Amino acid sequence: VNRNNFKTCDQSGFCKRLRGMEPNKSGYYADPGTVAQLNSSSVSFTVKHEVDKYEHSVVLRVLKDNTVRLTAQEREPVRPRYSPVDSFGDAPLQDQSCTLSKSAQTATLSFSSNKVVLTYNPLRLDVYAGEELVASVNARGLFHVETQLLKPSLISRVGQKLSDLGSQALSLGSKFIKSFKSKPSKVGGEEEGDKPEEEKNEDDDLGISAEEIAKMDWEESFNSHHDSNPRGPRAISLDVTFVGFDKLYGLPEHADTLALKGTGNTDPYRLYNLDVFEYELDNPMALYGAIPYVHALSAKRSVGMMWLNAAETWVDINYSNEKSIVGRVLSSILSSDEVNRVDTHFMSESGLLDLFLFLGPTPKDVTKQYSNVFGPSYLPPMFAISYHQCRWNYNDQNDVLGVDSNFDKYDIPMDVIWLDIEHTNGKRYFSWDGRKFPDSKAMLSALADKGRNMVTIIDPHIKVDKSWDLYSAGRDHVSCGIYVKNKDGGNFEGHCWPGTSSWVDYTSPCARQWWAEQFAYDKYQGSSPTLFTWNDMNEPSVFNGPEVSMPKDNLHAENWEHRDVHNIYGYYMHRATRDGQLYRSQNTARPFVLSRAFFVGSHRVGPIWTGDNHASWEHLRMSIPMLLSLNVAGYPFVGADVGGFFGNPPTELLVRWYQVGVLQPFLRAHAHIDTRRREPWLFGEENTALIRDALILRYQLLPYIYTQFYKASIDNSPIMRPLWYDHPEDTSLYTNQVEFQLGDSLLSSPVLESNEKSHVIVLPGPQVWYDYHSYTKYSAGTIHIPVKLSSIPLYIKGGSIIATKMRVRRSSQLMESDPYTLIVALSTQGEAKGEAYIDDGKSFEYKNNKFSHQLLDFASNKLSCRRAANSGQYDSPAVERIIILGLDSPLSASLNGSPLVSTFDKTKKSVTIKKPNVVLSEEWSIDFL
Amino acid sequence: LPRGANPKQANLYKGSQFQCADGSQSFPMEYVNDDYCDCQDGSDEPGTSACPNGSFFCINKQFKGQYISSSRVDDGICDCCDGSDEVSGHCVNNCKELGAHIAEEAKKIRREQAIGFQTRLGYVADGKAAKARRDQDIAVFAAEHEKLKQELDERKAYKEQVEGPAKEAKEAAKVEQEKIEAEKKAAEKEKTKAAAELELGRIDKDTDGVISPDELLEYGKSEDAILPYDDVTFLVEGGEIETATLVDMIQTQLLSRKTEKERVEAEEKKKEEKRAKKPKLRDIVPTPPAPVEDDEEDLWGEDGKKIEKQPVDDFDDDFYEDMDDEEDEEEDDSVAPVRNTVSYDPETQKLIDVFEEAETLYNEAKNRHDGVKRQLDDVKKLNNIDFGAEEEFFVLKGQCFEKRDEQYTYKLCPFDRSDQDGTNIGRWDSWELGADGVNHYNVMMYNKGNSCWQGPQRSTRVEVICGQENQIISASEPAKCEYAYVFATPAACTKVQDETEIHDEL
Repeated sequence: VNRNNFKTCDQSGFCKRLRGMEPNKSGYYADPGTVAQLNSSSVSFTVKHEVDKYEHSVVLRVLKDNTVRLTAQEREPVRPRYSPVDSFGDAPLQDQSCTLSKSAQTATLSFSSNKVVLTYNPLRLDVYAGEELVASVNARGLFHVETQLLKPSLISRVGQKLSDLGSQALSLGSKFIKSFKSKPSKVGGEEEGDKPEEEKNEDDDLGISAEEIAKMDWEESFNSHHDSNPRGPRAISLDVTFVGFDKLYGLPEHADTLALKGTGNTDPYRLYNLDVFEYELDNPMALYGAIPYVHALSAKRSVGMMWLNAAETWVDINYSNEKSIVGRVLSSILSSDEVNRVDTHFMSESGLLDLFLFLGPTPKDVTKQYSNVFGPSYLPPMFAISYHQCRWNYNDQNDVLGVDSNFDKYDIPMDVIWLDIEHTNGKRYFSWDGRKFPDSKAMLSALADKGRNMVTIIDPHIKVDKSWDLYSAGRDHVSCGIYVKNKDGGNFEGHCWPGTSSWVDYTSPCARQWWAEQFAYDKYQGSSPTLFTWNDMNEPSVFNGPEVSMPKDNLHAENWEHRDVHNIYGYYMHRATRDGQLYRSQNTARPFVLSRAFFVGSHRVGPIWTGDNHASWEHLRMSIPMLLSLNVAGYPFVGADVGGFFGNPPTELLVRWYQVGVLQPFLRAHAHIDTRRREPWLFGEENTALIRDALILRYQLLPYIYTQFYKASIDNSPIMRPLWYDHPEDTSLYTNQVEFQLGDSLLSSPVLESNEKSHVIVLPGPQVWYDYHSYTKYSAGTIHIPVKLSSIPLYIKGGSIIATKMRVRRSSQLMESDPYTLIVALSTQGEAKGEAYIDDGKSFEYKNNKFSHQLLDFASNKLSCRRAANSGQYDSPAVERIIILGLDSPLSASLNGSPLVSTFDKTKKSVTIKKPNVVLSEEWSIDFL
Repeated sequence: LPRGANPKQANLYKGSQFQCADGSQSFPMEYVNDDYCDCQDGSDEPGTSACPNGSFFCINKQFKGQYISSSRVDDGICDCCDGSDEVSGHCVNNCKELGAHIAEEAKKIRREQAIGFQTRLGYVADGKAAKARRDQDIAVFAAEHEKLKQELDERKAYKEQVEGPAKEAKEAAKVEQEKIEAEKKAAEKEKTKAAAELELGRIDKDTDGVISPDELLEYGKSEDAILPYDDVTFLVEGGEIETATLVDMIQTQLLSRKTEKERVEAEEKKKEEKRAKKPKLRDIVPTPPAPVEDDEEDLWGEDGKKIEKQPVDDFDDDFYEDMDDEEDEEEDDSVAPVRNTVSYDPETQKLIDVFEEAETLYNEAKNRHDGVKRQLDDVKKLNNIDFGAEEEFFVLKGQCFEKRDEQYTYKLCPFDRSDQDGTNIGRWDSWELGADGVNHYNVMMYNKGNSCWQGPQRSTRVEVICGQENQIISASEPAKCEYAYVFATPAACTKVQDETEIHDEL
């Protein structure tokens, strides 16, 4: 990466200002007289400042399921502040009632057994879960809302005042002078002089001193780029201290450790969607997407917090357990001064201060609470969670069909072939290079005949080409502006793959509608129902823009500045594309759109991947904490390019990457145009076999993985989860970022080192675990196993039942009617539970109850399958095999009194029941003796 | 016979017990094709998809029997032409049509193969003849080379022997000559002394015996002043003017004028002579070694580079024309200095003549030797190329084949190089061995072409197949800067199998 292309906090005006704030000098206080209950679930009050005269309105709202929302803005803002309301889930926010009680110093908002205590002066909010203080807001006094001012009025009024001041003007600060350059006559002379004492008083009507105005960043430059910032500084800042917590997680996307690091000696974590070429590992630099969400963890409880803001955001983190300033502040309410805490400081350049606290207490509860507000993940079609074969680029139709037929020749399952930018006619998206793809429909149909799909890339930049209908249609659209505008109101033009381009303004509902319509089969010529979409470069990436993105003073719909909406732009594109697929199928087929940029809410739209990684062991290892962070922050459907995008992976690395990738939620192999071909059969028979085995494992597990996706579509539960997620009480797992769980029953401990011979595996307690391949039973703890290149260490949690399909076909679609194998992994008590979700894997018929959600239960020598309470009815294939793990002696099985054929494997300590004659979507029970 | 079983193995399914093919287990015969995998090796389920490692035999009457993976059974896709891999009624049986089509295709291919093979026989003959010729050439050239090397060594020794005395004598003569020259120059200068003093008097206008700056400047302005005005001002600026310096400067000027005059006269005289009798350069330039008279000359380049063969006629004309032009230009250059021709005493001259003759003889021998050495090396290099088990690819050497797609023109010069629109995308490297480690003469590698921007050197992999004619069938770039051709050539055509053999298979 060329670091010079990207800002440090010091080079970002507002970050420098806000990070430079001195703690514990808040100056803000709540006016006790204004504290009032707005309605049964909300309380509002006015916050004032000891020095400046601006007032801020704060609203505290209690939401269903122990969630607290805090908003703050100027009481009479000169302009509204941007709020990314489309991040919210489809269900409206539900309130929870609360009661307010006031005292001389404090006001207390109680709900369930929890409460928020407002201390008036200095302003502080202490959040209690039960009797325990879990979060303290503004305990360090870093709350700040930069009051929005009107620049034109300032020029006339302050300019006038300055001309009176005359010679003093220039001493007020260079930034200020710069912004008034165009009116030099009002700035006055250049002699030096002392600041007049009466300055503050004279500015009373502004509520702000000339000195403060002078310090404002009305304009900013970075490298050769100038940001006119005509609306002036309006950043927001807040500190939240998580009390009694050991670690903090989240804040994707960064190529950094799973547990967030203290930022005392580095820049803060930055959230600003950027296209970073060859990104570096282990640093807090911004990447392609942003979810300003943290999860605080201790053995006792979890708390989540969303800082809902779409502008550039920086976050400082400090871990401490010392009795320091905050400790003293809190000491009156803490039983012990020695308590782990995590201080955070959130800083955003603009937008509404809008905070959500999810009080847990378990990680799962926090996830559920997050899901209440921002919605659950989307339920993808089955092919989407199967294997994707991508390359920049498959050259032409014959190349595609050749790759397709090689998958059959080498008997490797594959569901989707992808086409990168070279497939288009001169990087005009929605088009084909007619020479290379003379008959895309024939190609799509040849793939579809084997149950395979295709994905083409569609980026947000539209080539400026007057002779191209799509560009002109956007330019000439009557009802709304389709393209993002520059600061002067003309269509913004920048440089990207096609050369000079304009960018669709997806923040506009009208432009989104227009975009969606482009996916109609008659509009997108040569497309078909098995063609899906990949949105790249939607940070947005602008080759000649500041930080390879869009100027912040560009204008969007409703006159919002790009600054206000930057981080949500990619989400809106992702969503508009998704809508396009819904539109073309008239809401009958489940969409599939991969995006690179993302924001809060993107998880409801489709998957993202971790962008342009590198074919190195370091990047393979980094894929795990990156994907885990995303899952913790509410984004289950994520993946990293298998093999690494840049560079040529050594064969061993490629094999290992497949072995890791098949157990991650989104599975796609991808490669840069400058790399050598690396389809699975190009590395000799042995390695082809290893990659085939890994992919077969993925396809065998599809029923289980699909069930996990179903669960995520209900409560957003993470699919790839850190070990601590299901075992928060075990603090030794908090920094483990080499292992992960795939759903609630499988644990992966991938081999991530070259030439590894002996592998260390941590199996969390208290339950036992079974090796997926050998059925060997392990007690919880640390084990060492020998590994070969063929080893894929994978463990089934004792006490769980998973559904698999052992017959693997060319594509997932062809496996639809194949029978199931149930694996029952007994707990030490001889019990197990599991579930299975089945539907058609492609339509929305599940919304019409065409799905089966089955609960499996093994207890008291009986395996039962029952319909879940919410289940509809979808007829599934039969169960061909039931394998029960963890038995010391044979069991005989019978169904409704008729004996079933079973065999006992002494070495594997397992019983296999042959063809139990049951259907997974029906209710039945099998007795064992 | 159970579904999916090969009729040849019908006996496995007789009786009441079935034994897995690996002999590991036995089951009641009902276990066969009961849609459950009982045998580890998958042999109990020839007709279902139950065993991941199983296989299904398509009988394909009227075509040929074929195994498919059990994962293809009952998956909704018709893999067997008789449709036996899917539930009955799902697929149409197109074995007959397929068989006819395949037979037709096979016939076409056989025809092509047969014709190609005939051509190949000629290639083999040519290749083998060329190889024999090369072997013979090597023998001839090697003998010749040996002989010439001996001669060269002898002449070298003789040249070195006479070189010393000639050099010494020449050196001595040169010293003597220089001494005479110096004396001559001093004498000439002395002659100018009077004239210089006269000029001095002319400068000393007030005849006070002292040259003042003003006098000198005034003198300098006069048109016929011997001292140039620049020199005069230089002297004046320098301060005090010494008479001796002045005299010396005037003498130098006078002397150089005389020399210049003599030189011009000499030039004139020479030109006059030349006009009278222009020598034929052909007579005075030694004849260059004759170009190797061999059809294969242009093939014998170094590093596989093709040497552009220059026709002998052109060579003659151009070469001598160029020489003429150069000579003329030099003669027209009037500022060329007069050559210091040294004349030697007869004794010395004789030693020099002996040496020069020895040197000429040596050079002649060296040219002959090097020529033959080069020929020998070139033939050896060519002989090192693997033109196939029967030299069948030899005829392709020296030819180039082009394939134009809509974007580029690809060019293959076998055993030489590969180009895309004139960019070298690989130089002949070697045949690629098959997975079995054997050279099947079916893949050529051309490596180390021009480097890609920020990338590797370009390379071309050429798949060689049998074809009636030599041609590039397809050219592509599967990965950046890695090109792939399919090249058809009769050289790759093997003998056609017996017709009946093919019929048996159908």
